[in-house]
Amino acid sequence: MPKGDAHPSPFFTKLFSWFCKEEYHAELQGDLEEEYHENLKDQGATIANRLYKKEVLKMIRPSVIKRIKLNNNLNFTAMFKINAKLALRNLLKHKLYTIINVGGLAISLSVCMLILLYVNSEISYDNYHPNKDRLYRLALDRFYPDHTSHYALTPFSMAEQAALDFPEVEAFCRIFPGFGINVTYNNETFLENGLKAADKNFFELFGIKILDGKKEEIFSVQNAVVLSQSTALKYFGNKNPIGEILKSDLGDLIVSGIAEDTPENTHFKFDLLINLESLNFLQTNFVNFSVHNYLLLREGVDAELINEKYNELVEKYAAGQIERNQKISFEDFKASGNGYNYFLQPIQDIHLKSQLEAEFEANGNITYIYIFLSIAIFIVALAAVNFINLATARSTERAKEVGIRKVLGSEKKQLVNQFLFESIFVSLSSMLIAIGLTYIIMPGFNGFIGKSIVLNEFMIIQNIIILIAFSFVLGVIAGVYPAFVLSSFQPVIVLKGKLIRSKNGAWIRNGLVIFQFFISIVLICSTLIVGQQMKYLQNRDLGFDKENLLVIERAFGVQDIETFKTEIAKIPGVNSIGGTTAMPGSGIYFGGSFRQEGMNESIALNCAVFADEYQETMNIEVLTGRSFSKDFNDSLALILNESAVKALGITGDPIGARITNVQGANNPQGDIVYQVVGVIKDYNYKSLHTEITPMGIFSSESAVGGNVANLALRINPSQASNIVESIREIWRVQAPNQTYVYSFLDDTLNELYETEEKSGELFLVFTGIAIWIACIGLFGLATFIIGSRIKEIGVRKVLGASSARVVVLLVNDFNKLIFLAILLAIPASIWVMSQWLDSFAYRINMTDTWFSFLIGGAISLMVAWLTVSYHSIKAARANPVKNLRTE
Amino acid sequence: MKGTYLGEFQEIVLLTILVLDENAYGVSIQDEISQRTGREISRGALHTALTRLDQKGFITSFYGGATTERGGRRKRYYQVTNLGRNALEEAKSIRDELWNLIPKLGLQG
Repeated sequence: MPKGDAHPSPFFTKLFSWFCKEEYHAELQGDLEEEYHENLKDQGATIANRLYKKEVLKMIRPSVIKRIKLNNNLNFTAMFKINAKLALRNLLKHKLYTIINVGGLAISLSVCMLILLYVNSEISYDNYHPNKDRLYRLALDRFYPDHTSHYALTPFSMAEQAALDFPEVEAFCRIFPGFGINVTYNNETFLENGLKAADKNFFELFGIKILDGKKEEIFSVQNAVVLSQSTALKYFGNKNPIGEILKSDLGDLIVSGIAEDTPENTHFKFDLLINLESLNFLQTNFVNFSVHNYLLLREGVDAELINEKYNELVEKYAAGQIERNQKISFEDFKASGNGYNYFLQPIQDIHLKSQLEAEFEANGNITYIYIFLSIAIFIVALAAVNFINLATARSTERAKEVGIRKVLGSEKKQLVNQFLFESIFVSLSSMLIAIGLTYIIMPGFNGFIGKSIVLNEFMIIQNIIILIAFSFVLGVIAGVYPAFVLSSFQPVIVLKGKLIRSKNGAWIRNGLVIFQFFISIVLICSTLIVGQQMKYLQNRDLGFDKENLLVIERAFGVQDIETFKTEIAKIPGVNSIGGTTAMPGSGIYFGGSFRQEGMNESIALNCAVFADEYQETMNIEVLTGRSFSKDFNDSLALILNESAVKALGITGDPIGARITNVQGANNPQGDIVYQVVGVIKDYNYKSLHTEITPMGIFSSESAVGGNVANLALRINPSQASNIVESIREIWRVQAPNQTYVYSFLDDTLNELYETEEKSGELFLVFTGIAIWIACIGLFGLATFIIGSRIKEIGVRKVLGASSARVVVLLVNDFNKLIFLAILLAIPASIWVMSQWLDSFAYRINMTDTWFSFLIGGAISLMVAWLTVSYHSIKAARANPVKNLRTE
Repeated sequence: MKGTYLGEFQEIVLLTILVLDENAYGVSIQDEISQRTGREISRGALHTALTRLDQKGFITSFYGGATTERGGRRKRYYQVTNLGRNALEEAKSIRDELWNLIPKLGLQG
């Protein structure tokens, strides 16, 4: 017996009655319901409902479902043939229209496909790890009294301790970001920058495949190394590399395995992966940032819970270490505005949504993904709008055709079918051409975006069906309006030669033109503003002179740095030489804790070491005091930047201020007191994406000096290549077996803004395409409007209007539309671009960009005039007699 | 011959209808078959078989009275026609004949 009001899923019941043949429905539905109630009694509502749904789905079979009602089959194919023939004839007859239409659509579809492929490759990052949904990276919001920094690099023991203390954590893995090392095999030395170190379970947590070697024993010895496939090929060729020994700066490395090359869609890459245990300097630590920590949570664990628990972990383990180091209580430390907020990032979010300091490599940006996606949609929308406009534009010409057809007995439905068929035909063939185009553009596009997308991987049935379905829908959407307008013409009126001017169609057409120009203007303005911002970044006073600066990296490789410097100084064209641990832009700064003598509170400064003459070489401005120099013993001298003076709370003259560098408790010397000898102007020592933070500078003579890895050379640009070669010679003698690495500072700095630069260029291309497509649309519309006013123009000319006046009259119609588009586009661009500009710490103001809007508006007006004037001038110059004769 | 060919499943359905006698309708046939043979068959699959059998003239059907437990819908009862019986018997005799033709030795081995 049915229990109460239990009944099977109403949706499935409806679905069934929709597809089931009427003659069987009562019987089958009855049987299904009976069965459902039986199951309900025996097995409960959930199972009964599930079984019911299954039964309904299994009813989808030819003997049950309704026949699709096709009109007489014979008739259908005949119609199809006729329509196809007519469409083809029409398209061939108006070649210009066809080329504009198909070409415009094909190009925009192809652009759209490229964008989608790009977006797809961006969002596919880290989607191949076995437990990707439970795998997280630990990140940190570090609050300082005056600012907050966000780090991807976290303390060595953070994940390990969490795995011990939190039952929710299943496993952890640490990756040490690595450094460049020289690797020698068979007397050939390479500089390897792709070195990383990881825990033993690296290949279990990450989906990178081991091609050779045993997964479990990969790091069973301390000095084991796993090579990527291409690195193995580089050293060993076809030889079996397992068990071979590579000599390196880290000692002998035994090859224990070969891994596939890190898939492109990974937020890190490695060429050599060594055992984390072999790096002795990594010890239990809860404060100093040293590794990337990854955590695998147990199933069903909310990352938020672990975030909470990390607060306790900081209190429990890090607080003590901080207190020992800073010599103040953790409470005071927090009270002064310091704090740690650890949080987990899902591994798949790292590439697009994480813009932290010390990432493995420059990440993508989700904003760009959204921008590109909207551009893709806009461009296709623009092309679809053209479709509609061009089809209506041709209605004057085709009106007679429609009239004759109607007189000869064509039904409205048949005409609608014919026009729809034509437009679907155009959109399908555009799609085919677009696919071909994409194949042609792909290699170049790959080169441009620095990826290697393989198009064939996407040519699977499912995608092809989507493409066909999409172009079909596009054809219908684009064709439906003209189809109904054209087919509703009254044959008598049309054949009499009366003008066709549908008032109600006008606002649609005008609206479409406004829409097209709106988008074009937004794109033009955005491109201009992007360009302006890029120029601003490149020309911004960085606080040092980046031109003509040659940087020699890895200078620690030479036997004696002073001899090396003296030798280089002799090369003609070298004006000055300075050394530092961290060059602006890409340099790595170490953290140090400082406080003014007599004060309790210490603050963190980013630290670097300058050798004598570095400040002079870089042209960094000294505000007060002096920079390091040969004439002084600078081992206890300290230079601060302006921000550091403020952050340390130094009032009065900073020169001579005594600053304590707080040492860790395990440091035997205890705290060291430095004396400020100079204050330099804030210079941009990182990228312009981040603000200048407080910085402390030690001399190379100080206790932390020593390892000055980069030499900066101010050179005479005309002798650059000579200088590079001369130094190579000196390097060969003084640093045997070490790789000579040099760069020019301005190039290195430009690389920091590569994403923006590339996006800017892509913007430019898309804008060009969008404007072009909008122009085609306008061209079509001009044909239509002017075509319908041809008699009016004739009358005006007969009555004495000059050609020039007629042109002005015609162009004025369009001016209104463009102006309206400009009015709408300006606020839209302001909104979009201020979002984008917010990602820069140093940016132009929106008010400085008014010129872009002026240019954007002017360009769109000019383009519109040029497009329209072709028809206007042609119409205005035509002999009025010709146009008036027909009536 | 082709028109009267009897598939294995159709044969089972026919036999089940005979077994159920007066009470052969969708759900009861479905239940009976799953009980006897242990295979789960969907109502849809059964429907296909019944339509085929009906087209071949092996079964006829009539509507019973309306019932409350089926949302007021009537049951459709199935009956095997003489043609259907003949086809069943023919199928059986073909099988028996074939069984008899199998060499005894082979069977025992």
